Amino acid sequence: MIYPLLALVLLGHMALYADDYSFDMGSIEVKSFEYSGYLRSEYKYQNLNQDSPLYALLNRNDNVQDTSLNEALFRFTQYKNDFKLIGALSARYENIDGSDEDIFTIYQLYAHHTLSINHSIDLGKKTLKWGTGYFFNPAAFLDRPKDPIQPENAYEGYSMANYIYNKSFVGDLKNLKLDFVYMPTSSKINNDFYALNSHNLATKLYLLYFDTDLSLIYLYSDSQKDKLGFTFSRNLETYFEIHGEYAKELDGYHAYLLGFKYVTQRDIAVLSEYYYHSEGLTKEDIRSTIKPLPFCAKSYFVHKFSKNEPFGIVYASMYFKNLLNTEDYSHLDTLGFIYTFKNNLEIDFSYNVNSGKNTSEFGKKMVSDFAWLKATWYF
Amino acid sequence: MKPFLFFMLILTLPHANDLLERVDRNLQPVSSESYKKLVNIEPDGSKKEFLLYQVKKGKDKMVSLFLEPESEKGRATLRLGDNMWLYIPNVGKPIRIASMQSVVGGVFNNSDIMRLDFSAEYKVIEQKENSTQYILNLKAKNDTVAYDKLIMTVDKKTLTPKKVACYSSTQMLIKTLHYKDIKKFAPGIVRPAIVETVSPFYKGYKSIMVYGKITPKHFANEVFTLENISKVGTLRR
Repeated sequence: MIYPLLALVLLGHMALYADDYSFDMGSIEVKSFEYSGYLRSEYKYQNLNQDSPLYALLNRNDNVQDTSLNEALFRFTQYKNDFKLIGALSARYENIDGSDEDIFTIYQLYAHHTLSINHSIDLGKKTLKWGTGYFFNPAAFLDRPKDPIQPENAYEGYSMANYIYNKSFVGDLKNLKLDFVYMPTSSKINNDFYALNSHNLATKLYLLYFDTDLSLIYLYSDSQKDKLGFTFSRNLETYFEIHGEYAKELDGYHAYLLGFKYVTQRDIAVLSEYYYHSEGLTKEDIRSTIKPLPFCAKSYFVHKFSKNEPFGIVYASMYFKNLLNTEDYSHLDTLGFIYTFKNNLEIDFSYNVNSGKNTSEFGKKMVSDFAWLKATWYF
Repeated sequence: MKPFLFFMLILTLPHANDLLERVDRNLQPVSSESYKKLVNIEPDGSKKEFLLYQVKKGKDKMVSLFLEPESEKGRATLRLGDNMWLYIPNVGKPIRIASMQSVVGGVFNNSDIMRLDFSAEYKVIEQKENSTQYILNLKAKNDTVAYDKLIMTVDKKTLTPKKVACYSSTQMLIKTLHYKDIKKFAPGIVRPAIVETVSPFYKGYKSIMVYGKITPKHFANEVFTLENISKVGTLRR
């Protein structure tokens, strides 16, 4: 009796071993249509700030606001010889205080044609994501503004034609890339960039020079002021990176960002950025506005501390984020925990507090603090 | 007697560095593409698998693309010498990262996954041998490398590693890699198909790297640029 049992255990063990140590060649099969994406469900339990001017304006008499968001993001690439069709589509269902809204957005949908190893062209709706900043990108002239609270989220691009020249070299200059972008606007196309007819031409020169990422950007517009941008990023050590951006509107505003990323011996990643915009709101401007637009002040200081595998929990990450308005010293603080399960489900739970005087940006928000649960299933 | 031994050591070290380069060439051609599976096994027996596609050229260029699991799909890393970038589809642009940071969690760190040639990062400072194996004492060429010192045991017959012990600059053992299952992948590429990793910092954990396919292939230098980090999948077709 014991031998068959032993044989069964041995066979089971061998099967387990074979599974871990074998390689399924079917898993690397190449397909002409590839897709990925996620289904996400978010819920916010928000305590209300009864001293907020907005609370009084809306005549509220409750203490709590519930919001939920369900989102499906679908990315795909269709390959055909030297052509590719690339898309990212988002469907969102939002519910705030019981009133709901459906939003369907084409984030990206463009055709890519590789002319040669050095030349390529993209045509359609595309997110360029220029700049080296993590929370802010003052030099990303042809991108929609990023949300510093969720900088890693995908967002909508603009319709454009983009020619790319890319060349590698041996020596101190390792890579040169030139982007030429034509982006028209009208009442029907790219109208939140400029509401009327306009022609916008941008060029970006990128260099990997002495192990430093450098970019020089120029935006010409026949209806708005031209803009000039500069970005850089460099690893001073393998655990210490610095980056920055400068943007100047000719005869207009200027903005800049300076930041660094530092990884400590205990694998804590510290990401800090300072952002300044010459035409942002001052403390007095914010005081006199009931509901200032998010992140519209002159300057911010953002810190994020994240630790992978906290308390030895593999596939987990813990983070603390502080978004500080350096005009009125109000801030949003977030303490969060992320865990990715083996079935491609990721849970992000955070507790967030708005702090500051009730005349300040974060202090006058209608929400004083909130618990935020995000569950994302990747496919 | 001691000066004589030291003299002999100096004489043999250039050959030892040649030997290390031969080990590198046996592990992977100068320019190639490969598929490998990473399995992180936890103390309770549960596991997580990752599938990677990698393209390598010369001593200092490598791109990797995660094909599985779905939560990591589309993530790509680019290594160009000491420069390392990570591309996450949601973020949509490459971000500079540190070599010691972990992309997948568990025992592997970025350097293990995006390993360049040993001879690109290490020099042999001592070589010993017996009838079946060489024992090479390797020292990092600079402090940008994840492990300061390696003790590599090389099989004389196949000239491939059998074991690599990785130490920090404070002589602390960080992890040990065991190379197993010699297999022919392509003409001239006969190497261990399995690399098992254990670490005293992850007691009870085990990581396995299984090579599925290694193909010698020429790639243009432009493949290893930020412009193409989001397009690594195109190289597979």
